[in-house]
Amino acid sequence: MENTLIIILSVVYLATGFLGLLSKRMKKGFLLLLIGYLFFFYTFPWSIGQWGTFPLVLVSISIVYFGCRRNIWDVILSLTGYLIVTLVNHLLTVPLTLMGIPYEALAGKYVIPFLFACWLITLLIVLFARRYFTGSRMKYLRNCPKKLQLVFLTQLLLCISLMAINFVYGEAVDYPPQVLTYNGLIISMFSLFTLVLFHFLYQLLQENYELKLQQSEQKMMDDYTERMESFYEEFRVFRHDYKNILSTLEYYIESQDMEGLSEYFHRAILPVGTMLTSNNFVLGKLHSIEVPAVKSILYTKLITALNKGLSPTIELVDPLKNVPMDELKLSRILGILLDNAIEASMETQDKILSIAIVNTTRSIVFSITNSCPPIEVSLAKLYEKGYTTKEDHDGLGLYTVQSITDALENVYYSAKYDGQFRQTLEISFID
Amino acid sequence: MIKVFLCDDEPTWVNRLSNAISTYKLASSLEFEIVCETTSPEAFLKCFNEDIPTGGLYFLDIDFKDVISGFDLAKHILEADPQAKLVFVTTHDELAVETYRLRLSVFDFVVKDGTSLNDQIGNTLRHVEHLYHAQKEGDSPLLIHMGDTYHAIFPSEIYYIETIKEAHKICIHLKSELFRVSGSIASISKRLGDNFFSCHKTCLVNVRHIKQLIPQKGEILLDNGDVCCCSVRGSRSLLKRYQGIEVDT
Repeated sequence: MENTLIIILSVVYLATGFLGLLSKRMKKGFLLLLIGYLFFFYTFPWSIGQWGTFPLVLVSISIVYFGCRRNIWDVILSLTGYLIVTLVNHLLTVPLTLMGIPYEALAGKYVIPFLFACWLITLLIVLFARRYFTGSRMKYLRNCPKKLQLVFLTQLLLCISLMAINFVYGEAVDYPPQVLTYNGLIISMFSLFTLVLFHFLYQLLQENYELKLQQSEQKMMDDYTERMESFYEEFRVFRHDYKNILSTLEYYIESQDMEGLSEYFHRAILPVGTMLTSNNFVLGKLHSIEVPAVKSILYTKLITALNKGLSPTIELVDPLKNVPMDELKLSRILGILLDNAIEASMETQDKILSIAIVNTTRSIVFSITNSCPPIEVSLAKLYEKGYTTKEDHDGLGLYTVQSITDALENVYYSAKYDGQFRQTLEISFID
Repeated sequence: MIKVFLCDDEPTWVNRLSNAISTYKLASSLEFEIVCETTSPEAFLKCFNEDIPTGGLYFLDIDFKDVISGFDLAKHILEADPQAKLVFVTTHDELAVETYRLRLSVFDFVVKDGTSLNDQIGNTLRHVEHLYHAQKEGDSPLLIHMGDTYHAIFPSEIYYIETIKEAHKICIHLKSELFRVSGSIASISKRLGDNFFSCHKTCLVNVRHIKQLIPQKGEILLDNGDVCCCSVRGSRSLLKRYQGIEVDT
C-alpha cells in the first residue's frame, strides 16, 4: 500500500516537471506512453540506483519530442521542468540534512511527506513559471534560431547530467552530508544561473523581434520615399512636356496642319495620357493603412504585381488602424496569398488582381480575388502539404496559411473558385 | 411572385434595367412584378413604405446625386425587409464593391455596361429563381458565420464537413468553395438534414454527392473529385442505411 502510494507520488511529481511547462497539449497516445513509462520506471525490479536518471530523462524527453510534433522548444521546456524538480529536491534535501535528518531517512522513513512537499513546491513554481511562458512570450521563443535552441538544450542536459552524477557519486560513497551539500549548492547555483540565462536570452529574442519589425518598416519607408520621389520626378518631366506640347499644338493649329496635328497627337500626346493613368496611383491608397506590417507587405507585393504587368486594384474605404492579430503572422499569410495570386493572374489574359480591405463592425476582412488558369483538381487538394502546380515550388504556401489560421481562434479563412479565385481572411476583434 | 424595385438617378438606366427584366420574364416560370421604377430615392421610399414586401428584389444605384446615398437606402430597406435581395447597379469606377458586399448583405452587383446588361440581369434573376425554388422545397439556407460576416448556403450545396485537428474549427467543403470556421461536427449536424451521414468521427458527408465508396482505402470519392475519409464501421452502416451507393471493389 505504502509502496504504491510512493510510486504514484513519484510519478505525479515527475510528470508535473516534464509536462507542467509545455505550452500546448501533447498527443494523447504519447501522454499515456510517458505516464506508463514513468510507472514502469518506478516498478522496475532491478534497481540501477541513481544511474537510472539517464534513461529516465532521455526516454521521457524523447517521448515529449515526438509527442509535441518534434519541437525542440517543448523539449527544452520539459527539461526545464525536470530541472525544477531536481532543484527542489536538492534545495529541500540540503537544509534537512543540515538539520540532522539523514538522507536515508528522507528516502525511507519520511519519504511520503518529503515527496509530497517536493511535489507541492514544484507545482507552485511550475504554475508560476507557466505564466511567464504563455502567449506572446512563446512567440519570441519559437522564432529563436535553431542553433541557439540546440545550445540551450545542451546546457540543460549538462546541468541535469551534473546533478545526476553528483547523486551517482553520492550513492557510491554512501551520501556523506558535506559532499552532498557542497556539490548540491554548487550545482544548484549553476542551474539557477542557467535559468537566469534563459531569461536574458528571452529578452534578447524579444528585442530582436522588435528590431526585425522596425527594420522591415524602415525598409518599407525607404522604398516608399524612393517611389514617391520618382513619381514626383515623372510629374516634373510631364509639366515640362506639357508646356512644350501646348506650344507645339498651337503651332499645328495656327498653320492648320491637321495631318501633322493628328500624327503628333498619336505620337506624343496619347502615350503621356497612359502614363497619367498609370498604376502608380494604386500605391497612393496604401496611405490609409496605418498598420506598418500590412502596409509594407502590400506595398512590396503591389510593386511586384505592377512590375509583372498586372493592374492591381485596392479597395479601402476606411483607414485600417489596427488588426487583432500578430503582425508577422499576418504579413506572412498575406505574402503567401498575394504571391500565389500574382503568379496565377500572370498566366491569364485578364490579369485581374483585386484586393479589398474592409472594416466591419467587429472584424477586419481581407479579400483577394485574382484571375487564374482553370483549376482542374478539387479545391481541397490545393491545401494539401506539398501540392503544387509549379516545379520550383515546395507546395507549402497554402498549407502554411491553413495551419497558421487554424491555430488562431479569431481568424477565419475561406476560398472560392468560380472562374476566378477568391480568398477571404476575416480577423475578428476579441471582446 | 417577386416584387421588383428599380431606382437609379439616370432615366436611361432605369429603362434599360426594366427592359432587361421584362425580357427575362418572358421565358421564366417565376413571376417578377416591377412595382416601382423611379429616378428619385424619395419617390422610391414613398412607394416602398406604402406596401413593404418580404423578400423583395431591389436594384439600386450606389451613388445618387442626392442627399440619400445608396448605402443609406439599403440600410433602410434591410431594416424593413430583412429578407431583401439587394442588387447594386454600379459603374466600374466605384470600387467599394467588397465593402458593400460585406457590410450589407448584398445579393449581387450589376455593372453599368450596355452590352452585357441583359446577361448580367439574367444571371441575377436566375439566381433569385433558384433560391426561390430551393426555399419552397424546404431547403432553407444555413448561415455560416465567419466572425462578423456570414454566408448563406444551402445544405444541398455542402459536399462534406470535416473537423480541423487541434482547433475548435471545422472545414465546410462545397463544390468549389471552402470555409474554415469555428464550430463542431456535433453542433452543425443538428442543423442539417437526413442526407448527411457521419462516415468517420471527424467527417460528415452529404450522401447525395457520393460518387464511390472505396473501403480498402477507407475513403469516399465525391462527385467533384474530393475525397473524404470513412471508417470501417462508417462504411458498413453507410451501405446499410442508403441504397444504391457504388462500391469500388
